[in-house]
Amino acid sequence: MNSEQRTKRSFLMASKWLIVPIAAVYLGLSYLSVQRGNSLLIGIVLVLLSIIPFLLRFERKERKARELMLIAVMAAVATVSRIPFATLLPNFTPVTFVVIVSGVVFGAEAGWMVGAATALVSNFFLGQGPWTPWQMFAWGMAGYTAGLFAHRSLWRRERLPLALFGLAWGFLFGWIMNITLALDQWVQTHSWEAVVGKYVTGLPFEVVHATANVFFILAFSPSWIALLERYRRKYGTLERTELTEGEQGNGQTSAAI
Amino acid sequence: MKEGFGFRSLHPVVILTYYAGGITFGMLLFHPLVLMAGWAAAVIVNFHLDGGREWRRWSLPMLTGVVLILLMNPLLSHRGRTVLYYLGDIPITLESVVYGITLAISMLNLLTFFVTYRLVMTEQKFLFLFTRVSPKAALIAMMAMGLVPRLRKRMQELMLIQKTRGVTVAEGSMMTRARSGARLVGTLLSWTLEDALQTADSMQARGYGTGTRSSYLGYRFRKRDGLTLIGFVCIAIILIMTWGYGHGFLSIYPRLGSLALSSGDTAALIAYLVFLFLPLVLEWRDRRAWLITNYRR
Repeated sequence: MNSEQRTKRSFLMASKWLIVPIAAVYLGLSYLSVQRGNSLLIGIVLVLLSIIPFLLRFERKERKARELMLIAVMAAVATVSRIPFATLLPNFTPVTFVVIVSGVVFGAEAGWMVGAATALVSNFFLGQGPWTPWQMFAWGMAGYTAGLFAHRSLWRRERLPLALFGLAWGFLFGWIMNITLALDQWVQTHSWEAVVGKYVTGLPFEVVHATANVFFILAFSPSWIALLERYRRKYGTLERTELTEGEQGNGQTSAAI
Repeated sequence: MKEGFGFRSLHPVVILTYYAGGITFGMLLFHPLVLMAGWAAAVIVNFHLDGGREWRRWSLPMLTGVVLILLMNPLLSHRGRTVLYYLGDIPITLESVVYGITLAISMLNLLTFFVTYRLVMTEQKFLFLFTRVSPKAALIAMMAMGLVPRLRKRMQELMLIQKTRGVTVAEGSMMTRARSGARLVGTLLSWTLEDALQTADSMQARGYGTGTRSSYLGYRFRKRDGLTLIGFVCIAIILIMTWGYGHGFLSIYPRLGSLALSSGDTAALIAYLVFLFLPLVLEWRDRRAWLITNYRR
């Protein structure tokens, strides 16, 4: 690598830090904007900033090609899984189910990545918009919390606790997507009644989404978890550190084979 | 040919600045007339880029969303001095109606503006930008994106084959349809996981992760990029200054202000329009150059 290339590279690396002053300016602008009774900007600025710590955490670790591939496959499958359901009810999709199951099996960080990548990639096909960062955040958090939720004990990977978890995320997802408009109601009227009213109108969609999650988790989570668990071992990646000795040894030998 | 032409030929950084700026101003400005002008500008940009095809495809979902906002706001928000009408005992205020209209136009403006994003900021440009910031996440996004068309084809294949076994999403009760749909997705998953392993091993064998990754820099920062970027920054500064002095938005609550544009509002409006139209200058320039060279030949 000659010196010219090196300076170019370090320049590109330094350009990453441009994000700090830009974020500061945006926070200032959105604060002023809220003071003037307009909350459109602050939501999107905050949700974009919330993505940064997850990305930093993900980038910091050394990642094997197999790991990245596994996450990419999950995101692609979640994107494509919308196709057979396009003719059924709107909002009745297994995307959240796929994201939650990946979080459960592959851990919180990978779960976040699957969720965020799914939102980003599927919108390249369905249309990017101001909703993309919100979907990245909502699905990313669904995957992340699924990882945290299932991390403690194997009991939580059973159908019933996961179904309750999916039910909760069916509603949470819609509520996160509605934050922009609800925040706007709050800044406009300062009355909780209007905010709740906004959320009530969105309720039918959330119910469909939650039903879909519960249905898929009840019917398919054991088989999907078993399948993904098998591939996690086969790929020899994204090991949970908390597993018992025997299981961990098992994973390593199968990876060695 | 289209990629090397006019607006689309700009460097990804400049394009990102345009869309970031356009969205920011679309959200900062809150005056129905200014936003309406912005919307008209966004439509014109749409027509320049692809004759408005993509915009027409999106217009129905956009309109439904906008009409919903328009109707919902007066019903939810009862703030404001001027009561127009009582719906039962719910007061409908003029302020709330105007706010709803402004918000609806603002949304319409943002969505229309974003339609061109899909045309100009191609996946390749987006990933070019993103690999600088977050290489691994960008690689994942890129791989997933590459997988999607292949998986789609596989899904069609699976749906066709499974139909002969009676597993279909087109018939039966809601429950059986959902169940067979999920079975299709499950089959697709195991099929894909199997051969994605080979792809990953192939990457590993070609030295993924052994050193700093080199990248394909497909975009040069040319003079036109520099000039356009300087233009964007100058207009942005002017616009934020005028906005900072309190222009470009309508005071609605508690009492509706005058709808007429003050001189400051006009300045903000003009700056906003210039910002939105700036990349079209290149579009015109290149179109002219194309015509002239063809004429001589």
